[in-house]
Amino acid sequence: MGYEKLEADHLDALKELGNIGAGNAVTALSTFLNTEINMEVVEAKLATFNEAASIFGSPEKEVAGVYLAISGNLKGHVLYLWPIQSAKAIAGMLMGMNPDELEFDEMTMSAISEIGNIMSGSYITALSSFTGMTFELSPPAVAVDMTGALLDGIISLTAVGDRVLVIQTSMVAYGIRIAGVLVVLFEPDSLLKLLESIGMGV
Amino acid sequence: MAEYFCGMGEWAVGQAGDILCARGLGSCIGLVLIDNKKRMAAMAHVMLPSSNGKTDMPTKYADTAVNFLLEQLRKNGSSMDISSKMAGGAKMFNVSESSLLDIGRRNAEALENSLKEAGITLVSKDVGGSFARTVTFDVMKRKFLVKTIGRGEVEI
Repeated sequence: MGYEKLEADHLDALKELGNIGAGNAVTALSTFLNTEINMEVVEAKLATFNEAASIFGSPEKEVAGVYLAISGNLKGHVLYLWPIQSAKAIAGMLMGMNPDELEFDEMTMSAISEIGNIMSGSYITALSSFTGMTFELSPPAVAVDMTGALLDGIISLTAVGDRVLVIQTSMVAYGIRIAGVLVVLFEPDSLLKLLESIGMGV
Repeated sequence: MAEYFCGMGEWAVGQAGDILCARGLGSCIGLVLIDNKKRMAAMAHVMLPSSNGKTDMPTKYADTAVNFLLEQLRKNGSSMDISSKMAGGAKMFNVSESSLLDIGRRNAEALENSLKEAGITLVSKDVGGSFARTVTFDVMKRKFLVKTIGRGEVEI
């Protein structure tokens, strides 16, 4: 398929799916951290590779990312990205430590990984109950490095022509300076199935 | 005198005074073809091993990138005495059950095959591992630099 067949209606439907998933994820995280978290905006857009790789400005910008593969009826990828300071703040909350004193050691990475796992898991659970499709998630994998590098494999695998369809949610936890972006990319055939499951077949 | 940023799937040709660059490479590969006689070079930011017959973006795929770059060099009056260097092809996440698994390694292998088929020497490579790279090529100095976070910068 080519993405030229995707119309504004389809993007709106995917955005709505994103809202349902992200709403669920935010609730889970708020409960887990016992703090108020706000979802800023969910976007479903056909992005160029460069737009997708430059979520935080430059593809070289250092971020922390938690990755989970989606398998089962659908194939896709969930990646939760935080700027370094946010990753430290959220890990610090979980570990009861001062974020400024944290290094990205095994303990910090595992805290970040756990949060990414909770967020992505709740997101996918909501998507699954809404669409009636089963999704399986791989265990989380975590990395701290350049944004472009954490995304490029996923973009390559989900690209159609020179575009990728990105469902992107920005979240902010107030009072603790945390900003993260949850990115979901489905492989093209799976995207069609997902749209069909909500009566929006292309 | 320009700096060309090759985004994913993109390419550029540079002359003396130009800098060619591909930033934030994970599983992608920054490939440079260097004219050994003239101050000229071409870079591609390669994403996938195989085009499966697609012709929309030749430098997106390892199996079509090399010949496309050679063609661009020829059009620009290259001596066609060419050598190559490349970096990237990492595995950023330690996953065992994802299509992401070995895409970086496959990219590197496919490019090496294409270079061999085109009869081009691969002078040096810095591929694999689990860290991001940014590559720059200074056409005048014929200098290929690989930058990382926390591992410094090396010339290969």
